Amino acid sequence: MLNRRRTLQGLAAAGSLAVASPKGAFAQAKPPVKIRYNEVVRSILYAPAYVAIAKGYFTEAGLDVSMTTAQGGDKSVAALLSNSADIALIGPETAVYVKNSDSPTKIPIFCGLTATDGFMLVGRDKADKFDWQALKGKEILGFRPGSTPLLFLEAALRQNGIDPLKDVKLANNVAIPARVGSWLAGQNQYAIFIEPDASQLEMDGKAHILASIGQTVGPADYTTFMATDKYIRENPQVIQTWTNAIYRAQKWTATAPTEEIAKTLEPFFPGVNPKALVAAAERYRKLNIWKDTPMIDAKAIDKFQDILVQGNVLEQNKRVKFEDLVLTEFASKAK
Amino acid sequence: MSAPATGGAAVPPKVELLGVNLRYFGTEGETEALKDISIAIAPGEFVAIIGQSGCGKSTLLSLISGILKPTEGSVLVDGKPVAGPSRKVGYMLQQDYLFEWRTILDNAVLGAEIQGADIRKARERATQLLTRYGLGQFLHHLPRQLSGGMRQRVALARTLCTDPDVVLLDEPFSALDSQTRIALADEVAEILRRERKTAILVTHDIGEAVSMAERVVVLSRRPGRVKSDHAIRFATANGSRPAPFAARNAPEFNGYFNTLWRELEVHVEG
Amino acid sequence: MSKADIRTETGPSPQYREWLRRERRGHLAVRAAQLAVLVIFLVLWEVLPKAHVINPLFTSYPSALWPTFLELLKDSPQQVNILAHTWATVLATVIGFTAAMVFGTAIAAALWWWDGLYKVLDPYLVVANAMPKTAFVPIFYLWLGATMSVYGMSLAISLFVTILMIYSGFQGTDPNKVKLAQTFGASKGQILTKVVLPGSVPTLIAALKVNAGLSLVGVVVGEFQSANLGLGYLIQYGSQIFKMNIVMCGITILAVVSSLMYLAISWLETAVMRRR
Repeated sequence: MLNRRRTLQGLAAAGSLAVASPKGAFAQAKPPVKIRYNEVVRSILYAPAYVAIAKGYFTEAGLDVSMTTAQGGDKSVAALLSNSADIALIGPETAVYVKNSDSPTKIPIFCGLTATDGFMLVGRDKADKFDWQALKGKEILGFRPGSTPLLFLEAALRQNGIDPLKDVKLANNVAIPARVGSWLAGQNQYAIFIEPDASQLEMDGKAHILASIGQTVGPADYTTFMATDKYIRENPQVIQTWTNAIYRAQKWTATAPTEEIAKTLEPFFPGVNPKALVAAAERYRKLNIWKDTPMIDAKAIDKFQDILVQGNVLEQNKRVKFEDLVLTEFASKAK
Repeated sequence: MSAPATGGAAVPPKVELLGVNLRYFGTEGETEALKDISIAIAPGEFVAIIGQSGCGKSTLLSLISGILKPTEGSVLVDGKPVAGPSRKVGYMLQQDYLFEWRTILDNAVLGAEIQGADIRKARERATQLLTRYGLGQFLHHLPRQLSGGMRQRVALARTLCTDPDVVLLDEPFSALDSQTRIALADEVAEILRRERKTAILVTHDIGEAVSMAERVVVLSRRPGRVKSDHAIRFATANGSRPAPFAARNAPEFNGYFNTLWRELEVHVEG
Repeated sequence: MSKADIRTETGPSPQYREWLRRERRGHLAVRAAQLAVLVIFLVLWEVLPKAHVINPLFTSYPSALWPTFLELLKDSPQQVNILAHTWATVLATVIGFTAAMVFGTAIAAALWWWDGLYKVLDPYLVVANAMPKTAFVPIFYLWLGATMSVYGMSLAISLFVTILMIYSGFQGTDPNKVKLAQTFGASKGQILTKVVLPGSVPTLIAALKVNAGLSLVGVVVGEFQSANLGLGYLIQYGSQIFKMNIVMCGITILAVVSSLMYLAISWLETAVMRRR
C-alpha cells in the first residue's frame, strides 16, 4: 500500500517536473537531477532537512542529493560562489553581506527552515523563575564575535534591559570545539548552548536550561536555503521541487511523535545520546524553532537585520530590502 | 734501539715517560698507538720526535700534556705523575685555532683566563710577547685580518703567556708556506732557548728536526716504539747552538739528515 | 688590495670606469625588475576583481585597503583599533620566540652537558618536533586559558626545532678549539661558556630566524581560534562578517610585520658577524 502511494507520488512529481520543464519533456521520469547540497553546520535545528533526505522526499521528487557540511558560513558561501555547491543552507546574514558586496553573483534566499535562534541559555544552578537581571555582573560563555549566536544573545540581553558590553562579561574567545569542555572545567557562570549539548548537559546534571534565546528574541529567520541567482534562473523547477520536498518534511516534522523524529535523526548524529535527541526534539518543537512552512515573513527578516545593525556588523544604511533578498514565489507555490 | 742521550744523571729529568702504552678502544676493537715508550728529557732540552704518519707522535704530546691518560705506564713531569693539563706544560697545536670572535690580545690571554690567573698581569705579559713578535699594531684586530704566519705567532704568544716550563709543539709550522715556516722556525727556536723552556717538537720534516733540536727521537710505525735516539751537535766557534737557518747550511746537517732519512725509510716492524 | 693600489697617476682607467658603469646598470636593472613585479601584482589585484574576472568578494582590492585601514585605526564598540591588534600579535610573537630561544638554548646546553640525557630524550624530541603543534590549538585553550594559549602556541611551535638546531650547533663546535681549551685545563663549564656558546653564534642566529617566523605562525593560528585580540583574530572576524577588505588589511599588515622582523634579525646578524 505504502509502496503504491510512493510510486504514484513519485510519478506525479516526475510528471510535474516534466510539465514544468521549459523543454516540455516526456511525461515519463527523467534521470534524477544531481544536487550538491551544502549545510553550514550539522545541527538538530535543521531537522526537516534531514527528514527530507532520510525519508526519501528528495529522491521521490527526482533529486539526487549529496550533502556536505561546511563548518562555517563563509565556507558555505564560498562553495556556492565557486560553483562547488548548488544549494546551501546558511544564515541570512550571508545573503545580506553578499548583496552589499561587489560580487557580481548574488545568493537570493528562496526557502525558510529555522524560525529563530536555537540556542539555550544555561546556568549552573536551578532557577524556578529565571530573571534576566540575575545575569548582571556575571560571566557568560558567548560565541565568536560577528556570529549570529552571539548577535542574538546580545539582542536578547538588550531586550531585557542589559547592556551586553557593560553589564555582563561575555567570553567570546573560546574555540567552538572547546566550549563544552570549557563549561565543564568550571569557566563562566552562564552560557549558551545549542541542542543536543544543552539537553545532554542538563541530563548529566552539569547545567540547567534557563531560557530560550529564540523565544526571547522572537521570529527572525535563522537559517535559510539559498542558491546563486544564476542557478535559480537556470533551474527554477529544481528550486521549486526542493521547496516542495522541504515543505513536505516540515509538515511531517510538525506532527510526528518526537521519538520518531529522534529515530530519523539518529544516523545524522552519531555519538549523540538518543535520549538527548528526544529531549532536543521536544524542546525545539515546543519553541516552534522548526518552521512549518517555507514562507519567510518580511517582518522576520527586518528583525534579523535589526539584530545585525545593533551588533555593529551591518550599517543602518546598508540594510537590504526584503524583495532584494528573498524570492517568495517558490515558497508561495509550495505544496 | 733506545739510548737516552741526556747528560749526567745528577739533574732529574723534566719530563719522563716510563713504559708507556696507549691503546684506543672502539667498537671495532683495540688499536695499539704507542708501545713501551720510555724517554727522559732534561730541563731546557730541545727534543724533536719524528716518525712516519700515524706513528703516534701527536698522541705522545697529548700524554705529556695530560689530556690523554696512558693505558699502561706512567708520564711524569718534575718527577710527579701527570694528572691532567697543568700550568707547567704548554701545548702548541698544529694550527693556531684562534677564536675568530676574540681580538688578538683576547686570544693571547685565553690560557690565563681559563687557568684563573691575574688577567691584568696576563694582558701585560701577552702585550709584551705580541709586541716582541712584531704584532704590537694588531692587538685589537680580529684573527681574520692576519696572515697565517702572524696567527701562528699569536698562538705561540698564547702558549707562552701562561709561562709554562715545558712547551709541546705539534707540527706547528705545517700549515704555513715554506718561507714563513723557515723564518718562524728561527724565531721560535730562539724564543724557546732564550726563555730556557724545555721543548718537545713533533714533526715529519727531518730538516726541521735537525735544524731546531739538539736531540732527535725516531718512532717506528704503528704501534709507535722508540726506534732510535740521536744527539744533534754542530761545531761552532763559541760552542753555542746555531740558529736553525744557519744549521741547515752547516756541514754536519746532511749527515744527520741522511741518517734519519734512512731510519724512516726502513720498513721494520719494531 | 684597495682601489688606491691600482689607480694610475691620471685617475681610474677608462676600462675601470666602464666596468663600474656596467655594474651600476646591472643593479638598477635588478631593482627596476623587483619594482615591476610588485607593481604588476598590485595592478592585477586591483583590476581583475574590478573587471569581475575574479569575484571581488573573495579578494578585495588594493584601493580599498587604505580607507579600510584608516577606518580600523578607530576604536569601535565591537573592536579595538588595528594598532592594538597588531601590537598584541607582535608582543605575543616576540615573547614566544624569545622564550623559545632562552629555553631552547638552556635545554640544548643540558643535552650537551649530559650526553646520557640526550641519548634518552632524542627519540622523544624528534617526535615532538615532527608533530604539528597547530593541532593542539583547541586543547591549549582548555589548558591555558585565552591569552596564555596564544603565548603557549607561540612557544610550543618553535621550541623543539630550536632545541634540535642549537644542540646540533653545539655538537658541531670545532673539536680542535675544544682540545685547545682542554690543554689549558678548562672545565666543562668553561668549555661551554668560552668555546661552545661563542662559537655557536651563527647557529643561534639561524635558529632565531626560524623561530621568529614559526612563532608568528603559531600566534596567528592560535588567535584564529581562541582570541579576541590580534591580527589572526581580526582576519577571522573579517572573514566571518564577509568584510574581505578587513581580512586583506590584516594580511597586509602581517606581511609588513614579518618582513620587518626578518629585516631586524638580518641587521642583527650583520652587526654580529662584523665582529668575527
